[in-house]
Amino acid sequence: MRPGPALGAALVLVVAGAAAGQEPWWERPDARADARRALTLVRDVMTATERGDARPAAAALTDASWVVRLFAAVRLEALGLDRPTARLLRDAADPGRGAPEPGWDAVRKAREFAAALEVELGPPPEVSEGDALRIVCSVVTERLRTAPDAPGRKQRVLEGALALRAALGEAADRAWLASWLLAYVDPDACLADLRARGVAQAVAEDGAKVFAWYADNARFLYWHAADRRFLVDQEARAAKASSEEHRKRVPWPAGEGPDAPSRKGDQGGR
Amino acid sequence: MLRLRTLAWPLAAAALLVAPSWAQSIDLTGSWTLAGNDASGRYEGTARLQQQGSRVTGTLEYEYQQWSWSAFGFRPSGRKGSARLEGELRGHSLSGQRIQDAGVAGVIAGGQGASHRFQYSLALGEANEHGSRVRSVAGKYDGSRGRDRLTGHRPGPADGGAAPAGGAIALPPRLLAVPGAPQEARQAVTVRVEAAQATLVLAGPARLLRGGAVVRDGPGELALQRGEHALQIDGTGDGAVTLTLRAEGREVASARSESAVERLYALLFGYFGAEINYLEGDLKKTVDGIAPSLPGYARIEDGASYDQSKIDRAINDPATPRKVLVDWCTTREDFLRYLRRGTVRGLAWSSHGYMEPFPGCPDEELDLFESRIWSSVAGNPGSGDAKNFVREVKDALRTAVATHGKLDFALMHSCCTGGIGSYRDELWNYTTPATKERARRVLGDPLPDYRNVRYMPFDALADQVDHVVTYDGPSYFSMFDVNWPRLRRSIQAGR
Repeated sequence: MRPGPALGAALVLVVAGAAAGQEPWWERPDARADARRALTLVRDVMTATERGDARPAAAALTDASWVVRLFAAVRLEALGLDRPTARLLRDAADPGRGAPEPGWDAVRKAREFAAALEVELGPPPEVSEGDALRIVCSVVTERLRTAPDAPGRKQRVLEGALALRAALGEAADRAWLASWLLAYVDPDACLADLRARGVAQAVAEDGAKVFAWYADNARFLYWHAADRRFLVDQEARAAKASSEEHRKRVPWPAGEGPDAPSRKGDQGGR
Repeated sequence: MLRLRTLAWPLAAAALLVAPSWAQSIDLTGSWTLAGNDASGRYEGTARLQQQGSRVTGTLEYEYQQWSWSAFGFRPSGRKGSARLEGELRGHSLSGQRIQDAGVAGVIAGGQGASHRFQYSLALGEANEHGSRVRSVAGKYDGSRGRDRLTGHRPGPADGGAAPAGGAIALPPRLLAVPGAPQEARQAVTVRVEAAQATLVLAGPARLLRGGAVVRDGPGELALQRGEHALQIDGTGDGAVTLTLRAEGREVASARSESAVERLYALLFGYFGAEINYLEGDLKKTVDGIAPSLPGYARIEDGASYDQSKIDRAINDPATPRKVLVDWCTTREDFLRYLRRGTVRGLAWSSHGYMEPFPGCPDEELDLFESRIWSSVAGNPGSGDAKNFVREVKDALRTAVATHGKLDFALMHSCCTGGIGSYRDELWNYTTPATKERARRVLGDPLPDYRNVRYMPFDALADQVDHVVTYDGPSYFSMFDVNWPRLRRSIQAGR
């Protein structure tokens, strides 16, 4: 397997988020370029497969981005690829793993399926940049909320989606990305800090304030397992230390922090 | 002169004071002489109106006139036309839609020509030879391009007969059949019997009730005494329905209606939780993916305001038996109510979901993991109100399958509707606590893992649905895991 770049969540991990004064990793040129490439590829594959042509999806199974690989596997299953093969391909689309080899059985089988699929190509559908954004974020959401990743990796997965911001031409799409972010990162703390009455006000036209708030608070976040979202460690923030560092010195009280019971009472959407 | 002017004002005022009786009891039911003109020329013919409450429906049949120099006057040209009126009477104003018929004469089921808004005014006066005080109903339609004028009112049944001494029937022009919930489609029908005794004969797929109790289920007769009878009627199938009143050996009144069994495609959205910002986009994708295959179906929905009253007001409209229902925020109560109408032909559902043993199940089912989908709290799709299990959905669909045969499709777009999938290592994590506790006592602790339990996914709908779409493990917000062309191929909209 070959290692993958930014939205592929490279194995070379540093502390999630950015130290004060440094540009966040997801806003670096290479991360933005990779996100733009992945977004465009998702859009192209969606357009082709909506018309009935599965071959671009099969080709994307060995892409460097795990998001693209997983998306392609799901599209192929929707078009009729057998479930066991699709499951193998989905399981392999892991942010901790690189792209599979083209000769791998599951990839070969999927490409044979796509080549043999006889369909009547329909008219080209309209797949917007916003549609592609929502697809990418949906894939990231599922990984974030379901996979048994360590909190550091979860945060890296989340931040990979933030690299999409620069690729989005429409302010409304950037605003949507910001509202998506707040679904998984302590909206109460963000609204209080931004003095906003609600998510819509905090996000405003293009989400700029929410993205800036996230960059300022990323290192204070911890993963709340029951609610399946990140929350701000207020004590760590007051101590101006990352949550990870602070809790080495001052452990969480019993029943608080990452293992606290759900605050929402809805089983985290399950 | 001065004396006359002094007298005129109080006389006019007195006339106004005695006039109210004219305004209180306007009934336009009966036949009329029609004259008018439109872009194609002037026409003459007849109109038949039926009024129930404030609702007025009618048919117009006419022949265009052309100038004849030899006769030095207008003569019939041989070109004929017809139209339908559907309107509301408010005071002395009648307005609504005038629907040109696509065919030459009469109403052709399922087809219609241009539809224009009409605005008519009533002119009242002394009673004519037939006892009607309505001298004319006249006004414009299609902007100012068309004008109709109805005169010569002969009150009585809309079939044009003279007002019989025996009685009258006021029957809605359309009936709706909702086999699983007939009370939803019930409408009022009044029968006036002037003879000592009469027989009301029902023909066609309908049922008559009095005070909520069925008095005539299907074709047959009902004996009625003299008086005004307030009955109810609902359709029981597709087809023409007639009521005929017979007294003293003759027919004294009759009325006709058309019954249609509802065909309902339900596009329903439940609990979205933290993923609420996907709701609008996913709803649009679903509607865009399915609605184009349902031409002529009326779309009813609550909208982004989650206003259930919008659906409740429209769902029982007999004028639209074929409908696409879009519910942005579906509660458990509404979900099951829609399915139990017994008219569903296709179902698309989106929400969070999972699998667990059915709460309250017998001990021998504690190892049976059943798919369940979350409905939402009324007005708040960010919160869930209840889990809805496979067995409950199957039970709710029984009448629909009996009515229409297998559904065209069921798109169950929630996690684990097709199996536990990649969530297998969290098998018991989201089981209702009481069930989990009981499972520990019966099955042992530690609880069995995913390899040692049984499963009942929504694939169990296959005996009720032709095309079932389920998800083994995750389903994805943004709906990119749906094969819309395949789903559309399953739709038989005309059935």
